[in-house]
Amino acid sequence: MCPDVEILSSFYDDELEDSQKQVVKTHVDSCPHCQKKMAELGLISATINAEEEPDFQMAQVNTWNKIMDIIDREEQKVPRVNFWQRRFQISFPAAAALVAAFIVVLSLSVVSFYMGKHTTSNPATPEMSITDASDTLFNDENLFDSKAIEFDIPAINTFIHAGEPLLIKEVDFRSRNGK
Amino acid sequence: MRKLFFVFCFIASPLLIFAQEGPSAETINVESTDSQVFNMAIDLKIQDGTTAQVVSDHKAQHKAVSGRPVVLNINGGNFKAAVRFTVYNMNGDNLMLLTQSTIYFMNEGRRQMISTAKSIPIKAGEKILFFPMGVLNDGEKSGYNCMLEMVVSKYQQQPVSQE
Repeated sequence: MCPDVEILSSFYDDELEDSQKQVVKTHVDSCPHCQKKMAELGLISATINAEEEPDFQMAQVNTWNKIMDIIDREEQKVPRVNFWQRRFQISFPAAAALVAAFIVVLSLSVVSFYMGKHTTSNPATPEMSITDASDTLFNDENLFDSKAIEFDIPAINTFIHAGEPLLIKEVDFRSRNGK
Repeated sequence: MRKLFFVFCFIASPLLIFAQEGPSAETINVESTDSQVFNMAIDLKIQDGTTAQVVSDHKAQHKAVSGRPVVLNINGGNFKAAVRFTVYNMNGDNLMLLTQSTIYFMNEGRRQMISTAKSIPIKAGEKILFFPMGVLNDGEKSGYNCMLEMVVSKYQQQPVSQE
C-alpha cells in the first residue's frame, strides 16, 4: 500500500524520522507510482525555487516604477509657478471681511497711538521718600487701613424699619422737617 | 498687486507695534496726592423717637482716600448694617459721596435684608446725614432713629515738630 502524499512530501523535504524514512525509502524504491509522485514533488519544488525570487524582485521593481510614474504624472499636471505669480482663490465675502478687519485694526491702532501720544503726562515726578519726616501723610498707618470701623449699639434699643436708607444733607433734612 | 499688499503690510506693522506704547493714563501726580485725601468725622447717634433725645453717641475719625471706601459695621439690637462710604474728589471743594449699605434686620419675626447704593454731591465741610433704617415719621415715634452724621473735610497735614 502506497503512503499518503503528505508523507511522501515530508519524505521529500527530509522531515521524517529515521525509522519512517527508511520504510518509505524502501517502498519508493520499489513502487513506480510513488517514484512518479516523488518526481512530481521534485518538479513542483524546483519550479517554486526557480520562480520565487525573480517574481518578488520583479514585483518590487514594478511597484516602484508605478509609484514614480504617478509622481511624474502629478508633477506634469501641476506646473510649477513662481510664488509671486501664483494665483490664490478667495471668495468675495471672505476677502471683504479680511479687508474690513484689517481696516478696523489699523484705525484702532492709529487712534490708540495718537491718544497715547496726546495724553498729558506729568513732568518728571520727584522721587518720593517714604522716610521723609515732614510727610506725615504717607507715614500714617491708618491711611490705607481697610479695617472696618465697628459701632456696637446697646442691645436695649429696638429699631423699626422705617423705610429705605436715607442719605441727605443736614440742611435739607432740617428744612424738610421744618426745623 | 500682491507685492503692493506685502509692502503695505510691512509699512503698517510698525504702527500696530508702536500703538501699544505711550504714557499710561493712570499716572498720578504725587504732588497733588494731598488733595485726594480727606478727613472723615463720623458720629453715630441713637435718637429716641418719642423724646427726640440722643440716647447713645459714638464718634469716629477716619482718613479717606478718593475712590477708596471707608467701611462701617453697625451692630444694633435687632439689626446689623455694613456701610461703605466712598468719597470722590470732583474739583475743588466739590465732592461726591457714594454710600453703599447692606442692612439685615428682624421684621415681624422674619429676617430681612435691604441693599442700597446712594450718591450725593457735597461740599467739603458740609454735614451729611445717613439713616440706615430710614427715618421715623411723626406718627411712628415709638422706636429709635439710627443716624450717622458725617463731615468730610480736606486733609490737613499736621506740622511736624522739629526736635
